[in-house]
Amino acid sequence: RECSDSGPAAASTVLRVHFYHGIQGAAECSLLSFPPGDYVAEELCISAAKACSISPLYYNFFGLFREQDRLWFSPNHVFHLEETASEDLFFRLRYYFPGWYSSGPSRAYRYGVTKGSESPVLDDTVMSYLFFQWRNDFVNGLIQIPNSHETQEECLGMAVLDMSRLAKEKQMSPLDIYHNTSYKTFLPKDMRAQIQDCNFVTRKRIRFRFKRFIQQFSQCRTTVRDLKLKYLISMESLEKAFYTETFQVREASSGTLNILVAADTGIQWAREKDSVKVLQLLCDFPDVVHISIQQVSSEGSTEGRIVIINKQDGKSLEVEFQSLAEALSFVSLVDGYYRLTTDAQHYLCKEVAPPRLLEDISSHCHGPISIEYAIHRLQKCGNKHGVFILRSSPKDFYKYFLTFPVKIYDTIEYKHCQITKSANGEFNLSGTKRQFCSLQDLLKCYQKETIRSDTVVFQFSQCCPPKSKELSCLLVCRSNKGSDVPLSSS
Amino acid sequence: TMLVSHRRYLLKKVWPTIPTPENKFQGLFTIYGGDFQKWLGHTDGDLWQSPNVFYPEEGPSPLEVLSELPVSPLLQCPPLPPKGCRVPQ
Repeated sequence: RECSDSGPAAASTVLRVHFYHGIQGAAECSLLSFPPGDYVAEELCISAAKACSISPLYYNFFGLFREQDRLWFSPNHVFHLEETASEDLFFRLRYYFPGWYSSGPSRAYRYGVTKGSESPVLDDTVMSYLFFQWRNDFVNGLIQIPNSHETQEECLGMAVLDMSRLAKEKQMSPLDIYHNTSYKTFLPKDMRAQIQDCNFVTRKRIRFRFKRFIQQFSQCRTTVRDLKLKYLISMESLEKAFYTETFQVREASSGTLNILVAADTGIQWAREKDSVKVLQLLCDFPDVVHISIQQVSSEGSTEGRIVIINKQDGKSLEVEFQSLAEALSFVSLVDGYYRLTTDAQHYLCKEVAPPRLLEDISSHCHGPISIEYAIHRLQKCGNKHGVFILRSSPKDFYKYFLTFPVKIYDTIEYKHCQITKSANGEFNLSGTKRQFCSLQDLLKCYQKETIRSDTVVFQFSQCCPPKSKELSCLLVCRSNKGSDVPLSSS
Repeated sequence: TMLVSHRRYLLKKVWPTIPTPENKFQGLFTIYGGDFQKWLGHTDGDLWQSPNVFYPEEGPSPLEVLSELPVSPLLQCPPLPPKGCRVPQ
């Protein structure tokens, strides 16, 4: 099946980026293939996001993951792939905010311009992608699930949701699915084995009760979306490991310990104290000021890297990772969470800084903020003539807009002039002839020019840059921070 | 009592408590009459009603750079009526 980004998936394919479900229009195809060459992780993520219809507002929740050594790659990682190389990567949602689906008190949400205009962290497309990702981890036993009567019932409940979801997608009755496929294939590998170990009568009883409930559940009025959503909610409560990353490090005073990173708990470490594991908060993402990576100086270990986390209180933490790749995996995780929780336009460590972010910073581009937000910022500048905002499109990875206020008679209107980025990386302001190799050069040129849009004459004289730690829709407010962070930026 | 507990032990061995999915859907049929969305909204906190109403993107505005125009548009205008071709401000 043809599904390559770059011609037929022939023998020349050395890099494959896998998805957890088929791409639209190609049900059985769930990967992109690439020929030998150099590839930046960020651009691969963008290709993958486009193939999965994930918009620019959400792609920074994703990363590239290699299953065999359980490594994540930073956005600026370059894959140098020769003819003989073979690389298999997974496009995975990496940053997860518990309670994202709720608008209640334990919620996580994106900031809005005003109170009441907050928006959800994820949309249905991302939710659906995450469903297939977590379903894969769940069924294939990639995440260990505690073995108790309670969790077994939760797993069976999830199998009911999953079977009903499949039935709806295939337009069959859940009972037909039940008869065609063993219900056990919807359960984690370990639980399948446990049921297999039960005696014949017990197995038959579990199967019978499951069948009876599937029959009852098929009377339920529901949608594929809601079934997937409930599946994710159950998964979130079942096991934190679905959205927590763990790293093994060495620390001068404590020896070997585990570092745990999750959106709601920040960076924690698990120390062994009197043979009991004690979890302690190391620091939360907003507390981090800067991270640096150093080579271990002691002889014996040339691979190891020391990561130094400098905190706002002036203190710093030093932990040693076994390899540079692991250190970068950790640092890119903290850096990504920092951008989603604290400052959308800042990086903590230059070794992992996303190339597009560097481009945005040098051209004062706001990222994929909404029109509503851009207008809000211009209003704060008093809608002055000549002031403009440069933002990237929330819909298209290769478009930008210059948004500026114009006075037409007595009312203020807003214009959005489009800049397109071509495949070879050149920028063009729509309606003009010249190509530029950077946004900066483009702006420098047209800031001296007089522009006409419809009947209005205009000059891009003053750029309105993003402010540090600005609360925009690019930032997520976490449930644990609901009380001490203001709701709105206005 | 020995006999009773022994019987209980045997019963548990042959007829143990089994996990069933229905406990995870309490109230779905009895309270919410099989309306999954309603049940979901009540058991898992208020859910976003319509998570997909997001980000309208306005069409781009047309744009011309005056210095790039081949001939001044003012000169291109037909001579009559003389005021019609002026760019209103």
